[in-house]
Amino acid sequence: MTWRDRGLALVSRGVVKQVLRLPLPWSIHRQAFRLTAPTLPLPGVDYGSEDIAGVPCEVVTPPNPEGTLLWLHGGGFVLGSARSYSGMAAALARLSGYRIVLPNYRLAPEHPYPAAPDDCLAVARRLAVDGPFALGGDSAGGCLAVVTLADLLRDGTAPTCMILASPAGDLDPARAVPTASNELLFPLSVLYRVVAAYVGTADPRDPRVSPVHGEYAGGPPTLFQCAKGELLETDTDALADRLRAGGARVEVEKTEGVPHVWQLFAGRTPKADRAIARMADFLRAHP
Amino acid sequence: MVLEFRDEGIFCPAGGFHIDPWRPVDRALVTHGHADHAYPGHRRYLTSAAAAPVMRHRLGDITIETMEFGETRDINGVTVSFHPAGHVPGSAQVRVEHKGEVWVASGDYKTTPDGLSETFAPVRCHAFITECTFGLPVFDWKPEAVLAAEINAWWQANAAEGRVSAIGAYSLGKAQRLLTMVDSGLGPILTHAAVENTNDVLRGQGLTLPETVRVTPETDPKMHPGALLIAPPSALDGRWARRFGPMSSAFASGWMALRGVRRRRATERGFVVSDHADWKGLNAAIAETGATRIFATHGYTATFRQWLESQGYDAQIVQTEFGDELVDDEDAA
Ligand SMILES: [Zn+2]
Ligand SMILES: [Zn+2]
Repeated sequence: MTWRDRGLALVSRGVVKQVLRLPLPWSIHRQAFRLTAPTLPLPGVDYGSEDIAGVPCEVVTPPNPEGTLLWLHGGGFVLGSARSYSGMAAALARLSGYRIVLPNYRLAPEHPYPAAPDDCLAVARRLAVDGPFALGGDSAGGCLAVVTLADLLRDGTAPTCMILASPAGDLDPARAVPTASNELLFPLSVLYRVVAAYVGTADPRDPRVSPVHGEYAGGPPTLFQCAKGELLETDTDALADRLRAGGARVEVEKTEGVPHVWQLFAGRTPKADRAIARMADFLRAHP
Repeated sequence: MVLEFRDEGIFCPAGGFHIDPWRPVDRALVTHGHADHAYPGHRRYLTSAAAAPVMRHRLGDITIETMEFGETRDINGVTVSFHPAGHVPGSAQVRVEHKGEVWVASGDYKTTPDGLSETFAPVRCHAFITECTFGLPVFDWKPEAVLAAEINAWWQANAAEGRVSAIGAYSLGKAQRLLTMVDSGLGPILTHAAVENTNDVLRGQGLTLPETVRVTPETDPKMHPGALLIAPPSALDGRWARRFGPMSSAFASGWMALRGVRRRRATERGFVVSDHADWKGLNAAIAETGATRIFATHGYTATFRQWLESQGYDAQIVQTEFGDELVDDEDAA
């Protein structure tokens, strides 16, 4: 492991996890999240803003784009923004040749369920009208991606492929608590706080809330990435099983010694770069 | 559902408007001026700018707003726009987008250019509402130039024998199509008032049509030897036409492709000229939309739906107020 990878692991566990644990207002967590995510603009990649189906989106476009990836950002349904993912998106856009659309879907607690999945579905449907596209997301965004997939499958406009980075799959507070032998970022208390803010009065076992309870017949080829031992490793496995049960070809890659959604540190650590390269490879293999 | 099919016609629940409704409603988006699409009695009309003059001419004093082709408008959070349908001048498809889901109600359409109507523009969508008036493989239109040559040869032969060539064509669309196809150097072109009134409206909005002579009670047929007479089919059958003496009559309609129809109209020459897409046109148009859900109306809906299902579409039939009774009406020719 390089010193950069080790440094990220240490900072995640020692600083970010400790901050996340604090029951601060979401506004302060949002500020902190903005500061951690690297958003250095990359040369040769175009950054733009676009309204798609009434949802404000950031669009990261490489020269001569060969496809479109809709990426639903993470942040526990309460944090994060398209902007905070533009660094990762730029790295992926450059390697894959895909244009990446990052919607600023509405966040809880101001806009609880179903605001976020409704926004994501609207953008996905609007993209589907123009032709095939790939779908992906990380953490809470991975949850939204699978929820969106279910509707796209019903529409008959399945994405070409899917990439899910440490997706959340089960938001039921009554679920069995994952062992999470080596969670570097994500304190369990946050899960409960997020669930309260986002799920609100909805049924947490509704497949549109917790996609592990959904059916995905005819799902597209899907690449899963997660950290070994992280809190959402069980959700990753459970969603991979659900997609396989629907007939999708599924690949699951687990990386050791990295925090939850380490891919955000593309350009900063070798393990993040490797993960992004795999995503790019997967996109190119499933046009 | 972005659009629903109700007793009064196609309805957008989120936007609170109808498309081509056949009963009076608050707000109607109307695809074109044909009588089975543009009904009287709506409180407000919204149409393409190019369709509005004919609509006013036919429906009188109506409250009408217009949009250019491709222009978008927000109606209660629903984005609507008009796109050329290539059926008659001004005819539009209506694109309706709500929460990223796009539906297109195509009204009546024709995919091949005719030099008169704005050329059909395919619009990508999730769900496509398509007519299938001529939704059987037997309907396979000849190229415009071939049809024109047939019609001109027929006119020329009649003129040489000193007979008037009378051709039955509906006043909006078909009549003007014929005017652009015929060679006006072959002789004078006489028009029935119903046709000529529509010509006036279309000329008024900038369409170029050859010179025509309006038939009035004073018109003396002898002054126009070897003329081509264009009139609604009903006028050619009645007393109005008798003054022109012995004449050769023809009927221009897609239905002339059917042998049975030709035989029933044995006294007439039939020209297979249609304002609608043929079998290939329908299939190409549907494929180009990228839609997975197809709603079939007007025509051979059952057969067409089966065909679409065999091609992997989620296809459904939509009943219209009049079912398939339009065979001899203006709109289904
Ligand atoms: Zn019609
Ligand atoms: Zn019509």
